[in-house]
Amino acid sequence: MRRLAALAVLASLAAAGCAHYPVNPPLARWDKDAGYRFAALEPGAGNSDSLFVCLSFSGGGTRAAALAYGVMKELRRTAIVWKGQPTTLLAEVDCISSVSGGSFTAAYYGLFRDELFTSFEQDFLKKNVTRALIGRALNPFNWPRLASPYWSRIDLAAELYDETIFRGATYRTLIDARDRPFVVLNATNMRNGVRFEFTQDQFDFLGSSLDTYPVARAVAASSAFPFLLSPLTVRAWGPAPGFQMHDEYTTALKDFDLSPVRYHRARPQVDYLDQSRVQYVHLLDGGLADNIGLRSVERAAQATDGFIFRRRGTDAPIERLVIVAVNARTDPDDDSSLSARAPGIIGVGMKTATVSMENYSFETVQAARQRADNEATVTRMYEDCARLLGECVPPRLLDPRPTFKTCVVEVSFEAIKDDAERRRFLNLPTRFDLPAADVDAVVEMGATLLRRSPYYASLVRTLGGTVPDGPAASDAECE
Amino acid sequence: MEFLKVAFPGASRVVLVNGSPGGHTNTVLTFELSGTYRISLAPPNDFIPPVVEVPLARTSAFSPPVITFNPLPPSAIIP
Repeated sequence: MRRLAALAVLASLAAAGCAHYPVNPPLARWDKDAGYRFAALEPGAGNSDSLFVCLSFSGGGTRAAALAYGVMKELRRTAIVWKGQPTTLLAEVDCISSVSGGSFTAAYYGLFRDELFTSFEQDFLKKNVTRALIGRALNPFNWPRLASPYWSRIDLAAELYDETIFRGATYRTLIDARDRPFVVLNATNMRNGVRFEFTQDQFDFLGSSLDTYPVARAVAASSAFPFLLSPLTVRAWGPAPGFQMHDEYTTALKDFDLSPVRYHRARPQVDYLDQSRVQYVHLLDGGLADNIGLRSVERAAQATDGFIFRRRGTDAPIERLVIVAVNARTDPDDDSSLSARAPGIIGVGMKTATVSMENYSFETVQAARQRADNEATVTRMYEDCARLLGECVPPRLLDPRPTFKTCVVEVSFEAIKDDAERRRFLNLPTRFDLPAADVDAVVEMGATLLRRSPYYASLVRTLGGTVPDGPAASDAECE
Repeated sequence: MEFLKVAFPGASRVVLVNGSPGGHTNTVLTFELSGTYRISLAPPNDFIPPVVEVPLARTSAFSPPVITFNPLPPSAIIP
């Protein structure tokens, strides 16, 4: 008996020593066109290049995933006409950027498309994922692995998601699908709080291939809530043979004074290439860097290597950019605000992890709207000036200025008009085991909030569609 | 927001901004962020200079800075 016990202990220790998270492989040779990049994907049926739709899904556990799902259902119902062709706004979606809970919806749609509307509720939204996670952690067969320094709770979570939600899919599955949307799952680099996206463009800086990497691990990293889940680790191998850094980075590194935004975006990326400083990247919940998931879309429009910027000089330029930001932010009633006693260490720890996530979501959406407004203002001035010059000094002295209109739609519980209903949704918890009735309510509210958005209503009307019960035209229009 | 005009005689050409397509010649290009950009034209490589690095800050939509590329004589074009 003692021998058996000793053997069991030895076997456990051996297993613990062997257990290791899947390592992202090095790239044999860099190819600017290979791998999971926007340019590798085709528009697909019903998707035009000139109407460019991007969605961003925020964090917030099952609540966020359900809100995003509700918005997807409404986009699918929204019929429009673009360039004389009938289509739906869902078919026109070109990119989805997500963090944390929203990443489950984004990845599921990217992999399984219309199955989202038949299987996602059973596969994830109405599943008690928390219980499944705890069950795996308490399973004695997993203890030896959890004892390994190279295997932790996040790897257990990724394994669960891989087996029960994402069916073993890797990024190769997304590449082989060939159709948009381009799904950008965002995590946060624990070292510096910088956004980290699961795309080949990002993995180029690690000298690694994303092709064989499980999508479930990217989702796990994106939703690795601090303290409850451990960080997920990826390997930085140094620059792959043949790697050429885009000039966006070489020029931005010169711009510490002239353009701090560009500099601070470029610096951490270039640092990944330095093996003396970075060999491993430990990733936490994407909400720590940007809890609304909108920053990757903004970067894509602003940076010269961004997939939105790069469409400017092509034969199929964007004529209209639509951004739908789905924000599942809550504002729960907090007992500490009614107490003279300061919160304890656990309360402070939890608040530190969560409050910072919500800090910049509002500003991020406003920055996107400001960008659209600036562009529209310059265009109006330009057109007015050209018209006036044309009237008095023909021929026109100004060259045409190519541009596109941007419409930013935000879906947020804050837009609920009824006080009691708003408080109900703003008090929903952030967890992976929401009651089915709450899931249904959030899904329905996602669709309702989108329909009630004056931005969305005016956009759909402009695109030849109708919004049942949509608000009348207002100043917040996207015409 | 920053503005730049890239002049090139003749037919419209694609302007490369940091190597990416960023608009066309003889129109006003828009940049959301100030900063340094490397400007060139898409192939064929029948122009000089091959590339211009330009810092953009506090530019105007109606009087943007202009950088000019000139055609190479046919004998100087490297196929």
